[in-house]
Amino acid sequence: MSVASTASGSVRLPLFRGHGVIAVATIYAGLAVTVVLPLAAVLFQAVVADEGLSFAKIREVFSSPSIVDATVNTVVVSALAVVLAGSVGVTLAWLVARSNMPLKRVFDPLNMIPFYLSSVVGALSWQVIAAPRTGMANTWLEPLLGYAPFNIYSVWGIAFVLGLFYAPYVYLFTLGSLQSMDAALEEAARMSGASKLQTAVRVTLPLSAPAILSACILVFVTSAGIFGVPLVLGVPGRVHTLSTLIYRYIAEYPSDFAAAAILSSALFLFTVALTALQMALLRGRRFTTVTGKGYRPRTVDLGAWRWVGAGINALYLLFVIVPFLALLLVSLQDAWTGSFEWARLTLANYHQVLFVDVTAKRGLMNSLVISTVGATLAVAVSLLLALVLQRTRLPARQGIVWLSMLPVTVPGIVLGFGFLVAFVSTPLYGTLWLIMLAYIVHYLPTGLRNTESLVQAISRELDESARMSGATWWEAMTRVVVPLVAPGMVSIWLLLFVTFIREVSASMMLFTYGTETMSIALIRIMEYEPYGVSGAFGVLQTLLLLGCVALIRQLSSARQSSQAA
Amino acid sequence: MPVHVRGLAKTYGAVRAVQGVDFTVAPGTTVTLLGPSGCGKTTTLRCIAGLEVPTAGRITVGDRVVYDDAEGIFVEPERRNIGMVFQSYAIWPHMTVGGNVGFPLKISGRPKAEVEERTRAILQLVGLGDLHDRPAAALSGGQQQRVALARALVHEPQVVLFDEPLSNLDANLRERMRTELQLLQARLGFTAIFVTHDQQEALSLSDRIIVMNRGRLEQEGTPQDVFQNPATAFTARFLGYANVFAGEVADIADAGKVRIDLGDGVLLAARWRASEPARKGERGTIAFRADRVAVEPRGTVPPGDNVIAGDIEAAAFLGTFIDYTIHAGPLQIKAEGPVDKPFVRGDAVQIRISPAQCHAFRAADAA
Amino acid sequence: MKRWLNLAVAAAGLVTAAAATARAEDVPALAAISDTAERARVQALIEGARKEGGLSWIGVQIEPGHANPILAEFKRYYGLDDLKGEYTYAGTGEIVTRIEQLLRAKRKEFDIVWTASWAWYKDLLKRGEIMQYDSPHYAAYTLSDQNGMSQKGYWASDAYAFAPIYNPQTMEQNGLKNFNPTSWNDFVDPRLAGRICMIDVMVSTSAAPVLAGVVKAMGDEWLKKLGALKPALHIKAAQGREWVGSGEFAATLLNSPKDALSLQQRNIPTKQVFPKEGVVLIPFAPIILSSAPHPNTAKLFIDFVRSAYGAQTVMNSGSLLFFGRPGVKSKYPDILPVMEEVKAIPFDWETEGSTAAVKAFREKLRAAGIGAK
Repeated sequence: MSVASTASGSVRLPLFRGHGVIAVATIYAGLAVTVVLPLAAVLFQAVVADEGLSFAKIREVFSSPSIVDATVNTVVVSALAVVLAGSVGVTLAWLVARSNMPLKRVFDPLNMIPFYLSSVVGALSWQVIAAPRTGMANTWLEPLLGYAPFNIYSVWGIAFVLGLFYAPYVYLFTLGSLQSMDAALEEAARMSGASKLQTAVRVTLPLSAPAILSACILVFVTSAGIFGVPLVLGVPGRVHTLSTLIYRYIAEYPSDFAAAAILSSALFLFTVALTALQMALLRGRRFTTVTGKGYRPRTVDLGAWRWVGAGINALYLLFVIVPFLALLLVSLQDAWTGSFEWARLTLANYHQVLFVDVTAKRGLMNSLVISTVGATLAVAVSLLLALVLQRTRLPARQGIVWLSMLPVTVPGIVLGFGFLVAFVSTPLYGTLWLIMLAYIVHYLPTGLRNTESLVQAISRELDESARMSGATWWEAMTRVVVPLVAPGMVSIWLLLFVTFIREVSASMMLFTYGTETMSIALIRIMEYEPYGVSGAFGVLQTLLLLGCVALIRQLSSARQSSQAA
Repeated sequence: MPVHVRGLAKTYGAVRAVQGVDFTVAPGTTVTLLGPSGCGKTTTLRCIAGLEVPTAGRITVGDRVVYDDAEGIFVEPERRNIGMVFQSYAIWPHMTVGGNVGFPLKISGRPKAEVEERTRAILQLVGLGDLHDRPAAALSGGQQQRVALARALVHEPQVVLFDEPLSNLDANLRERMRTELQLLQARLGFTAIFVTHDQQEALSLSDRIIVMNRGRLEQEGTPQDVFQNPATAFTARFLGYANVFAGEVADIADAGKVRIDLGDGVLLAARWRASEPARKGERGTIAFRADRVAVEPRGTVPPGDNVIAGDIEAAAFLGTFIDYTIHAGPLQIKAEGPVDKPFVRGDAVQIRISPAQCHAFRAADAA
Repeated sequence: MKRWLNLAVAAAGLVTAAAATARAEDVPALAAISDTAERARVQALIEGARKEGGLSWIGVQIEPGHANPILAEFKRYYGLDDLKGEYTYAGTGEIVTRIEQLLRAKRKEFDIVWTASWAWYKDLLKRGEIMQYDSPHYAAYTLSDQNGMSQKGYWASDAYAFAPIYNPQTMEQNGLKNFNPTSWNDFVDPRLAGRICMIDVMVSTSAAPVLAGVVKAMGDEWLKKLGALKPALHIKAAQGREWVGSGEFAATLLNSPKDALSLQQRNIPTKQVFPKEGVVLIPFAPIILSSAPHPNTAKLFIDFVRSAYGAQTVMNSGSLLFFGRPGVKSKYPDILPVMEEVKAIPFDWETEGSTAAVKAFREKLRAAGIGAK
């Protein structure tokens, strides 16, 4: 908000407003092109056929039995994922926040790890454990049971992997709610004669219900829109979901953009509705459970059961870690025969992905470039928007919030399809930059929300005092607000970097030869390289992500200790 | 440098935070905006600072118009050359003390040596001469206050605004800072505008006090004038008048003297404070201070004007005096009595209050 | 000034031309041609190609690792050392989508498209999107002609075939000792229930017609038996290959010999079967797009890969194909016979391989319980 000044240093008000209008108009124009246009393109494509407005196609699409089937699968998979993620997340959160379970400090950060990892790699590695015949768990259990109990190529398998990977969402939300809950509410229940368990079930959990429900809806929405896991696990078991169907309509010949658009619109409207429900839930009850700050809730003594708690938590971590170890084994074999064979030990797969396979090498490089540049741009845009929203009185700011938050409701595959439709005949199509743009838009809500809370935490008086000291708005922002939020921005940058590195859905719609990202390269490699090579690439991606997680932890703990000092 | 505020208004959506406030601050004096939270005092101050864009009105600092809605003038805060001390002090934690205090000079592009020199000089003046290189995050509350003050004064503004600057300090420190502020102002000669909700602070610091209520200017005057002659029931109550009762004008004597009927035959003579003369029978409000009430054993003086019989309902020993709650007919009167002749609960007393100490207002004024 | 400039440009042109001619003498391709007219034609193409400096080729089946030796040999053969050759390996569906998008956007990106999409080629041909080019080497593509896989003046085809691959060890573990299949019937044995997988014929553009051809040869009863086995579907051939390798499934029904080779090279004892009833040959042809940005280079490339030498280069690179011209030697004779030795199921790609026919066939598959509902 630079200011044109007259000789006396005063400013005509209309001019002042004019600058604001220009700034706001620029933001709206940017959001219109990057957020509204792709979504509008999808909706437009869905209802407008060659001969004009038409609902015949919609009727045709929805009368197809495979779509009915895919819709049912999508709902069932998402619901099962919610049940698993919900029960695991709530249980672990309660154990960590409210019980005297041993090793809590160790478990807490570990429980978050799946949050940062790629579920596609998860799906890939779960095949090693639970493929119907050669999965390790099956080959071990079959002699005992007389039959192989697990089939990862099923609705159950998909939901299982998704549930494991999304449990941290529920965990995080619930933990936050439990940690900020006033202990008096629980103590009052105890004083009224409730047992520990009754207190937990009748008081603690209901008070956390908005947070838990909201996390569950988030898991449902994300699961409904996820693409990579059903692609890897669903197709072999003939389980299609809406997202794999959308992809099929685009990828198969002849492609059917109209059908893809109709399915995308349906999926989009569905997730919008659920997100609206989530927001309604949060708005109504959020503040009733959250009271004082800096308060440390009392823990419940579980007695000997605390070891059971630790066992449950350890089991969850095993479910996360063991498949990756199995994948590691696969990656060290020239061919996977269902079990590890010393004679097949080789590093050739790593050599292949690091030095030979062009797709793998390119995927790695592309992802590093997109994620580095993209995370930087996303952080910059988030910061700029957060400053405009929090630190100016420009008009029509609420609209900016709505538009920037809209992508949170859009499944990646739908957004990717939108970008495809909107930009296919521009020079941007077929470049890394379009994929990067899709990433930035898709995760703008994440970036903006986190940045806004950082900015909000900085007292307004800090920059107002800079203004009173003679600094312009821009100077006050760059010299006071930005330096103060910078440490937090680094963590947001890393979070976005990690998210971009493992992104699948939007990339799948937008990649072309030469612009494969790491996850796409993984899927491509699975198409022609031996299993061990895909395994090696998956292991590399996981190591890269784990490195980032370690860095995030390091930074945030450093920040906490510096704040405490 | 004088500050003129004319017809200032500020609305937030449907909320009218400030509505039509006018006042003038004479050069080199201290004016305090006093009122409860939400009265519009801080908004007024922030409008003068330029941190809020008013909805209407005109503000001039010296002979320069910094805001005028009719002419469409709005000067950005950084161009107003006004210093400000914030309630939270707003010390930037990522800079040193010197970095904080020198910021206004640096931002205006002064040479490094000058910045250094003036920063050290002002730090000396506020008594923090040796803290120049200390990280600002490691300061005590009082030190932060001084840093904030030094930063507001370092570029020698002619007007300095103070937003509840003492409210975060403990009582002892507050006393000391109050005195130091007065000394500094005497030395540097700036015009000061304070915002506070603390009447003691307002009374002790100011040349003039402006009492605000619901976005309007309620009363303006010297501390003595405002304290002794509240113009409205609101001002009276806000300045600690413990006894405020509603009644009816019974009769009107000359020279603005009235008698207010408080019911059950209790009549009190009082000075009529409203600008328009009282009408017989209209609703009125009466206010008097607890320390102006004399409490005596029943029958000490014969019943007469402004002598009311009552019983001690509660007595609380407060060190230098005893706080009485007295039940007198329809009224519950607060009074302060000496500690050497205490009454106890149930004692029959009579209270006496001089008509000169009783202020009567038109009922509409009673907020 | 201007005149000097013109002169300089002309001189530079002369020097370049002279250099080009001089180098052309060392070009193996030219050395191999005795006919002067043909020699001049090729020389002109080489000069054109040198100016173009690039070739972009998109295709299926030939893996990225196999394309590089082909491109390298092509460059050497025509003396195009500075040529920047680029190969895009993608799925058929992706390629079709991509090319159609590029055509719609009128963007020139690819010279050569090398896929097995007969119906699409025909469609492109009708729309004038395929460049006419009658390579002299097409004359030798007699096997392609015999099997109806040539389009005169536009393309001549090699072929690949999808046939069963099985893992004898897994067969044995599943109680099928001495499994020695010779017929498609051997793969619908009820004992293989749940033990067999195949490429997702509901998605794969080339696999669906192939299965349709097999069903045509074997009868609907065979399809019913296959459906009863509830074969698992994999999106990409590699997944079926890895499944057979790990023993997850005993056999995959419609894979290419290169998959069997990949497993054998990793010491997994797998076998490829070409059943006696025959296989459907999938015509696999390179074409030049009318919008090719490097037409001269593209023509040379077609010449190269259709020549005896070039075809053998493709074979040796590891791309296991049936060549449309006789005389190309199989590099792995135990896995891949040559086309002359394989029985082909007659198949009309234009009608039986049409989009409508595939759609109808997929309905039939669904009815037989194959693929999602």
